[in-house]
Amino acid sequence: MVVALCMLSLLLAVGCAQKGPLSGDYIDMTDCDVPTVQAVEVPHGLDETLAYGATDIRLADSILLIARQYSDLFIHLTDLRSGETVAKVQHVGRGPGEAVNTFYIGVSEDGEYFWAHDMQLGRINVYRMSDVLSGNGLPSRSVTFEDRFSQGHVKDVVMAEGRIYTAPEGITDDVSRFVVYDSTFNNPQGMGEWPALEGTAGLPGPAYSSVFEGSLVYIPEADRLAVAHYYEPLVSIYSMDGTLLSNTWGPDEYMQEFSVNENNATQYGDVVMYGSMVGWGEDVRSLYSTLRSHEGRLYALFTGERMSAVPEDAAVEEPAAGSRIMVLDSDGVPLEEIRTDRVLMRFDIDPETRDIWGFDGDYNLYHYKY
Amino acid sequence: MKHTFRIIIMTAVLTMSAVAADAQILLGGGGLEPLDRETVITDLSSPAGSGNLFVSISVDYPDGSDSTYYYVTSSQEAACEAAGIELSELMNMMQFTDEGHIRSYLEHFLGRFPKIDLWISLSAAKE
Repeated sequence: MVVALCMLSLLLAVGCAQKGPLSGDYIDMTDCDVPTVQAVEVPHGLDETLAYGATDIRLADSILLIARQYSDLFIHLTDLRSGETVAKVQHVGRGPGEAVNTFYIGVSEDGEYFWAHDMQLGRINVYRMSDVLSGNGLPSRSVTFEDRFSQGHVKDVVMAEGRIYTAPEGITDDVSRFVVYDSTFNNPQGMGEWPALEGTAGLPGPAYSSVFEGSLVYIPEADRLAVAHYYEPLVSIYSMDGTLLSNTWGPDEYMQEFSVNENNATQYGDVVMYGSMVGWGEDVRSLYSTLRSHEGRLYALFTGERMSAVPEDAAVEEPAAGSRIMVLDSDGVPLEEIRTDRVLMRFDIDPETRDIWGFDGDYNLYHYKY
Repeated sequence: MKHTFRIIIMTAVLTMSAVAADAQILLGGGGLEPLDRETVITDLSSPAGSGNLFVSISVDYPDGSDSTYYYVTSSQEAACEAAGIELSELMNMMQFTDEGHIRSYLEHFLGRFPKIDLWISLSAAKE
């Protein structure tokens, strides 16, 4: 019934030359009546400092992986059955198996491997889970992109079909929706379509990757890529060659103002610093912060969290606290909404056990059941 | 407010880390001004001088004062402990990898610390 309601919306859009924020067909979540589930927080009993400095969190069966700053080792693994931290990998440094920084963790579909990209060294370290859990903290494989200064900000890294997919935020003219590398992390190829969002036609090339910055995942069951966008209420699904297959708009109607500054270089003495070409309004909100893919479905964390302090005389009422995990199928059709009472920055979910793990902006770790 | 601040800081870390990397290739031959030769750098490494991490920790105190502490170590956690900084007091972290610029900054200390290849800059606020 839910699918039928959303498909009716899509058909109406096709047939009625729908006016909206996107050109062409798209699914509007506000037209979809999806069931809502309230997740319940449960005490986790883990070390309360476990998520301090956290930048990412992943689940691989009963293992919780947290990427952390401020620690001598970047990735901490906790066995949720015992509550014990069973391994730490990626010492800070430049040597084999070390990293200068690690922000995001990728996990293979079967949970056998996890990886992390070192933005400073342009290196992806890939770990075999069984090796790490048995005490071998060195990566099973490391690949390095030599010309790392041209990569831009590579955040989520997808490893699929023998290739490496990224959706970088770049500051050079040739940045693309996706940059795809071979298995050795070389020979980058740009590909992919930007969403045809109102107000984004004719922008300078580097601006698109900032405007459409987002969280990237692979949907192995459908052999597709998906991006949930940080600054737009938009989830876009692509084929593996970068063809845009569907856009899903919502759950809230946000059109955030931005400006483009082509003179984005600032000189500090001998140093020239390049910043993002795109500047957002003072009331800019973080919309989708994390996207996950499990068992053919997408789980997109939506908060609408304001990124600066709320003025005392704010005319616009702030949305209720909490996060909304929008569950979509591999065509972008909304299926369900899972709500948490706290604003999470990053999360992961296990649909089989119905567990959610995440952390907030104060590095508090939370566990929910839904 | 605090959690919003941290969101912005995280973004700044991401931005500055990559931007700093880009900026480094645009620097001329001069690099950074060397750290004053009178600066106190505490060696936490064993054996002495073996540490590969140069850790600077800038601390803001409740009375409005601030100080910066310098360490050579293989453990940034040890540096924080030496500076009396709790994990919860850390606010930001940046890493500098260009060895030429690190050598330029530590010009007066290279003989004492020949193995440094990474500079971690931390900021903290005492509560």
